Amino acid sequence: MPVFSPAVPVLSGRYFLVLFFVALFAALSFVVALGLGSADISFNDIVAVLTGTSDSLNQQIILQIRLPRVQTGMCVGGMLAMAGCLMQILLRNPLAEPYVLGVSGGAAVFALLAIVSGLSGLWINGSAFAGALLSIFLVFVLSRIGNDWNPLRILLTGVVISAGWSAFISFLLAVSPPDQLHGMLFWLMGDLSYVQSSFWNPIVLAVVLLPSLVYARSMNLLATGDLNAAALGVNVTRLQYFIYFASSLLTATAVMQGGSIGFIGLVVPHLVRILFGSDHRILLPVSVMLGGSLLVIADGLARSLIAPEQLPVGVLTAMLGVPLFLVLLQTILFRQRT
Amino acid sequence: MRLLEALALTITNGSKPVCRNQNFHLQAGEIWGVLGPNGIGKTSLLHTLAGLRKPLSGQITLMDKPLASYDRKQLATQLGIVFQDSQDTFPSTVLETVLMGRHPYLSEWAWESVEDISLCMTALEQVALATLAQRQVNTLSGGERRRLALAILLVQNPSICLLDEPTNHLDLHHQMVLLELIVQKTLRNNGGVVMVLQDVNLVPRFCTHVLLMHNADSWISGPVADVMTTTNLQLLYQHSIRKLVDNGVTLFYPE
Repeated sequence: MPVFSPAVPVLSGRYFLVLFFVALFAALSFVVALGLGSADISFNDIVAVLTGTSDSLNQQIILQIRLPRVQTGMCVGGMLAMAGCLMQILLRNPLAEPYVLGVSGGAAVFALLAIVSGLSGLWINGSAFAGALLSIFLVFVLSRIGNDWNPLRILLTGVVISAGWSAFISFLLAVSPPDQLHGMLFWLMGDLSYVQSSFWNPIVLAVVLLPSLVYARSMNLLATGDLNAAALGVNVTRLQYFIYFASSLLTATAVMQGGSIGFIGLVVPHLVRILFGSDHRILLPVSVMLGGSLLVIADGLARSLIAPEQLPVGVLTAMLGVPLFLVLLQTILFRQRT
Repeated sequence: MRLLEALALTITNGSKPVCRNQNFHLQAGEIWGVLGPNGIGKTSLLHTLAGLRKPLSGQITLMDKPLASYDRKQLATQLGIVFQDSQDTFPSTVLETVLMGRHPYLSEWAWESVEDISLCMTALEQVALATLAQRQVNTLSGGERRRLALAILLVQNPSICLLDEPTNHLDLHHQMVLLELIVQKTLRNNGGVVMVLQDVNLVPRFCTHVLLMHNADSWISGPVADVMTTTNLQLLYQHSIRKLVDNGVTLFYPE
């Protein structure tokens, strides 16, 4: 049973209470993340900057260096966590995550090709996005040949395409000059060092989250099986198309900016299920907020742990996520036994 | 009133024909049993009647309108189906699961109301699961899951109930109580039931009509008294069968 589950788990009053506290936690993570980094800036300094009463150096570090990175990190983490939720119901598989269908592989191959050809900055982002779209399109077309579209077929098609991309990535790494390998590896592990603030991120998130909330109850049904959902009044094909393209758009947008940041998309949805239950009306918005929080905290640590050197954030998401998840999983199993 | 009608129905399962040019109709107040050997296509027939798979040819109408003209949500308020088995990939409580039966009655944005929840608790009491309302579904036994599936049907409250081996995993007591519950509720709603059964003896007990799926080209159907004969059953199962009448109850048993 979820850790914070009251007697009747679905009434909306409790829903808004949960959303309120999670939003508070996300806001707190945001501020804490602004405070993490190689320059030592205290909580009071951050408040001073945000209220516009600070000296210019702190102001510059916070507003021009950290704020764009934390903003983007919040959105990217939210996108990955939500894409993970969506993939898990589409494929009806708890092991599914945003990259399982090869979206990150396609993005990586194109990004690495851009790095090898000496391109930089937005060109790398652009080619990563193109690669992600190509992979999404390939999997969609290949699993649509014939007329049935079932989770197992999408999963197998995606996994095979993904394996193909992996081989291509290994090939590129093997033949690339050593001075480019460092950048390539950081890209593959997921890195937020070069992100810029973009007004597209909140728009993409909102454009996917709002219709998803309308479909949330239908998604609860889809999670119990196609036939069951159809029998209880869900237009299954339409919902599956929506989920496929919504999660693809989220993943492509996230991967384009941060590379293949692992773990958030797999673990955050499960974490939220353990804490608050599987109702997608709670699961989706809470995953977005917690995914964002976990990523900005991890990125803050990536910037400060061995400062002035930086670690790829993907390493930190796993280092934080693995113990957090294992502890919660043990707690739940323990509760079920007693 | 004609609730559900299939005309010149042809269904194939892969390359195997399930039926060719067969007719079937369900009138209000009728309880149909469907019998047939394993793999003959009883489940395929039920799914086709529920609009979950397309027949190769033929016409299916629900209350004199083509089945395909209903949208899924509208259909779910008229017709409910209990599947042979259920799957649970993600954790969910018993109460949350029963509430899914209210989905067709709620608009996309709406939350389940207090009435919906009390309706669900009543249904859980009827299937003797009320004390387990907060339990995780994956901790239930096979029989308890079966009762949960029937509770969903009760809150969905359709006039036509299609049941695929509803008594699977149920103990003797729950078989009798729950079939009686569904049958009585359907009769009160002026609805109808079609249920696939393995136990031939449940047919004379609960059904008014029976369909014997011998093969794709020969169906035998009609009132229980006319169709449930040892000759027909022997033909159906290719096994010799004897009949026993005791205390007004007819029992068939294999030799």
